[in-house]
Amino acid sequence: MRAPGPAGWGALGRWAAGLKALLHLARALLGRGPAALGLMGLAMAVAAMLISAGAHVWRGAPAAYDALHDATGAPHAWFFLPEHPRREAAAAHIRAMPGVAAVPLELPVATLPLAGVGGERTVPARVYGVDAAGASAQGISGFAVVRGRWPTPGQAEALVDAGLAAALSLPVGGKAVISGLHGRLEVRVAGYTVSALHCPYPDCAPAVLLPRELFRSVAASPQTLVGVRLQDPQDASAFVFAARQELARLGVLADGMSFRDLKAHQRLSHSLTAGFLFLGGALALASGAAVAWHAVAHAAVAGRRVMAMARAIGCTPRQMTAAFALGCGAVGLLAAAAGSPAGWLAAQAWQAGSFGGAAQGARLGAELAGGGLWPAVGAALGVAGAAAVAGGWAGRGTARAGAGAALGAAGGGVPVQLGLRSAGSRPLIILRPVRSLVPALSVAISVATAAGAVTLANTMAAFEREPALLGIFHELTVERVAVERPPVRGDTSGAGEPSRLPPDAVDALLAADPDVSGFHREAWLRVDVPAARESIIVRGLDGDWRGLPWRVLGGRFVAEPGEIALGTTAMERLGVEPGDTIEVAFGPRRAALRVSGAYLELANAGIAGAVAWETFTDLQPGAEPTAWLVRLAPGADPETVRRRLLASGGGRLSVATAGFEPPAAVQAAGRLLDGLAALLGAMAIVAVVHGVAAAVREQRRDIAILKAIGMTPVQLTAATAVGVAAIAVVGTAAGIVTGVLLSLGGFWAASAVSGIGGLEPLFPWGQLAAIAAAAPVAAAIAAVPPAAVAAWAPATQDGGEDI
Amino acid sequence: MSSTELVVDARGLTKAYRDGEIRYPALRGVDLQVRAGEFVALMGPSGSGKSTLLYVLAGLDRPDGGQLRVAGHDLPSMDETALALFRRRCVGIVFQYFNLLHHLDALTNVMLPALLAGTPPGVARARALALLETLDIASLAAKRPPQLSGGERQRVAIARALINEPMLLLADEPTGSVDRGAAEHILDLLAAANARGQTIVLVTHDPAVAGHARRVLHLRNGQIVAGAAAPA
Ligand SMILES: Nc1ncnc2c1ncn2[C@@H]1O[C@H](COP(=O)(O)OP(=O)(O)OP(=O)(O)O)[C@@H](O)[C@H]1O
Ligand SMILES: [Mg+2]
Repeated sequence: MRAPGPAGWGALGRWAAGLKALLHLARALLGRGPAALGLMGLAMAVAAMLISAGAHVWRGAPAAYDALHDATGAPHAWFFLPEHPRREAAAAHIRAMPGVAAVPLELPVATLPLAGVGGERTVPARVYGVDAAGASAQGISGFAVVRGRWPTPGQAEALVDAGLAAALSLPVGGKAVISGLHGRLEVRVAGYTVSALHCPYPDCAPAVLLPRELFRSVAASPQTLVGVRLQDPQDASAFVFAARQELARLGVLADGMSFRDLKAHQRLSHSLTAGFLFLGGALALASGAAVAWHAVAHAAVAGRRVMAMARAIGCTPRQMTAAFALGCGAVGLLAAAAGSPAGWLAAQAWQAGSFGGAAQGARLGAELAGGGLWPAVGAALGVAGAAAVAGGWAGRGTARAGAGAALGAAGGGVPVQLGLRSAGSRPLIILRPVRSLVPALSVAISVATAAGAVTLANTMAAFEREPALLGIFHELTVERVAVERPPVRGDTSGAGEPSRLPPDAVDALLAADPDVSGFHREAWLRVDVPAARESIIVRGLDGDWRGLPWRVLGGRFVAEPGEIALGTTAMERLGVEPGDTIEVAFGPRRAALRVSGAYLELANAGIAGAVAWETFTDLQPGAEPTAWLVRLAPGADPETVRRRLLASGGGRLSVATAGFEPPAAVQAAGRLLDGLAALLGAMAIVAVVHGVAAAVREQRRDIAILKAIGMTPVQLTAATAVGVAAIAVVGTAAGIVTGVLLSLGGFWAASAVSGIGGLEPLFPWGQLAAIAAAAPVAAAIAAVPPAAVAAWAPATQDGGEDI
Repeated sequence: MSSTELVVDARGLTKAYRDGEIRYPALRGVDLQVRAGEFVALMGPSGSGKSTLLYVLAGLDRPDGGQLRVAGHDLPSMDETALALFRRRCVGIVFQYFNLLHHLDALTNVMLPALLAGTPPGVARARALALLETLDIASLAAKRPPQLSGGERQRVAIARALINEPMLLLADEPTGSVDRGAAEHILDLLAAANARGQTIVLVTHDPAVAGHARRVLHLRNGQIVAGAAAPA
């Protein structure tokens, strides 16, 4: 490489010398506030961690699903073919459809209850019968082993969904029980699996893989899962739609899904998690920026002489600003460098939780790092940039005013205003910091953080306490369990056939329970919307549902047969508005439904709609309700009623407590945030104390002078505290407004991005009022120690260089 | 000699500044008696301890050793609150470097001690304006100290020290920043105050200024070397 010419060197040399001078200046100025810089570093590191974790989740979760999908060669579309004389023909039909590239998956599957041995909880699982020998050799399309190994052929072993195993506390090597129609089967957990065919929620039936021989011994009339890979994966939704139409023509009504549906489910979970992390990161960033501001203000006060000297030898205000920006930016960069990897690790932990430890799988490890380096680099640069901007901005003001003031007022001195109010003949003296922005801002940011945090906590608590806010009006979900009818001597008619309680019997059982105040019945059906080449889930409502407080977000809820109310994601996917009419198809049957409005639908990521029972049975004649959604009398204990109903059902009912159970991933993020909220809270307090103390320290000279002319220490301390409290009142008001706006914005964003729609924060006005009342008092209290130190110190010692 | 007549009664005062381990002795056994109504000038080379002595007399600084009574108060035994009240009621100080509050205008700076002493604002204001008038700076009443020249600031500081008509006026080079004419004017003002019965201790390097005093003391190396005793 040729050395640059003299001209180049000259410019480069000047530039380097200027930079070096600025770095020296930054060190001289900021070296005076190591505690503040340390605090700022901590806040910035936390911000970098949260933002980087959010970015990894945001980018990484869809990437992780894609990686899982790719790595396991998962199908793009799959169908559940029920037992039917023409099932084989239907499967052949799917295989022969245009666009099919391969058919990697064909498995028998049945939904069966699974429990840990000795465990209380039973969860319906989707149990697949697999060729264990083949699986050990080549794996199974769409499924990955994340711990342990494939089941051994012929052994009573199963591979269990990692999330399900965590929920039931099933260790590898532990025992689980599958209740089949032919009896109970006890299996050893050979390992954990994750699947690209399953959504990550507890309410989606998780996967269990059994060797085929064993599967036959428990499942009576399994469905057949047929999964195809497509030449054009983007065409998956249309393919599912077309295939279902074809199968319906054969008389086989099959459920079908595509990987795009799964991605919609993922979106709900990861966008909420990332949203929480981003919100926390923004708050940490704000408090870090505020502390950077303090550090600069503090340095400007403490470093008056350095600044005056620098100005005297020709340093421009712009250079002074740059020096502060450089110094704070450097601290921010170090903090970001520490925080971003921590965020990556947190995101890894989250993904390990939500993808069942998939991150540990050697094959997937690299891809599951997810968004790769960019989120970390982005977060780091963002944080360092914010630090630099905060430092530079704060420095801008002080560099201009500071230099002039420092040189002009030879004895030094920091602007302080003194309020004089006459009350009778006794003057009320208030020492108000002139650079009020520092304490006001520190109070405002802390109050905003606190207001946001209590609002978030209050809203989540309200969702759990009052699930009706989320469109969940029932406490218990009752379903019928099919049991094998015991053979009765002399009557062979129905022996060995599965039987369920008739719906009327369930109604009667519920009506007889003293604590049941009401219930309605539901059934679900996947239908196609030909015009949009999409499919949605239709929820048929039966019984006593009209009076319920459905969370309507636009238009109105279903009022009469022939209407459908849609979840927001369904609305968006179908591109319809209230008042439009959509044609839905289930097999050969079609119905034109008028869209009455949009409502808050948590199920199926909002790709669902609700219709009256008459409409439902038009699409599926003879349908029976599958679930009873039970409301309890006020004060009734759901667990007690659950046990009573289980007992009165004689083993033929399954009863689950309903309500708002956030997805596991959101819960994990929530726990992470709980820890960080404590840290942020501590930081907010430190920021207030620091901001107030810095402001009061600026008044030292004035305190010394006032003391010299006869103000007593108590008077001075009180005057300072009152002045700070007055500033804090303004800061608190700004903070409350900011916190409220932040919460509204955050929930609006989470609502929009997750596809649920209609999520609104519930403001704990009492707590907000308490914060508003406490903050100025706290700021005033924070002002007392530094004010008292200045007020009681011997005048000449404290203000030594000033007085 | 009855000690009650003494406004200042200092015996064996010592005071050292400390910077970590290093001690800088500033007063090395000062004996000083000032009677009520006296006008004393304190002279001495730079660094001899004049300002330090004035701070100790004002109760702004505590002596390390010796006895000190000012206006009947045993200063070493008093706490900070009592010292502040003592300054408010008994002492007026003109600082060598003025020590005005930058964000208050000249008038308010002057009024402040009167307000602290409970003088009704209207009265305090009138009195402050009159003082500024006397010192020829009434037109600058609305200006803040950073907008004033050194000499103008000095006169504001003097007005502030005089407003409560303190029993003891301690002035550290009150004419150091003004021209000769203004200096004469200030000295006349101090003389008038003295004539009304106020006791004055004035620090100066200028023999002409010291000439206005009835007694001149010399401080050297932290000790009074001449004119120590109060005249009988
Ligand atoms: N805050 C301080 N810390 C350390 N030493 C001090 C301090 N203030 C004064 N001194 C030292 O104490 C001695 C007396 O100082 P003082 O200010 O009383 O002198 P001075 O007689 O008023 O001088 P000048 O005529 O220059 O005002 C000097 O040697 C000075 O360096
Ligand atoms: Mg001096």
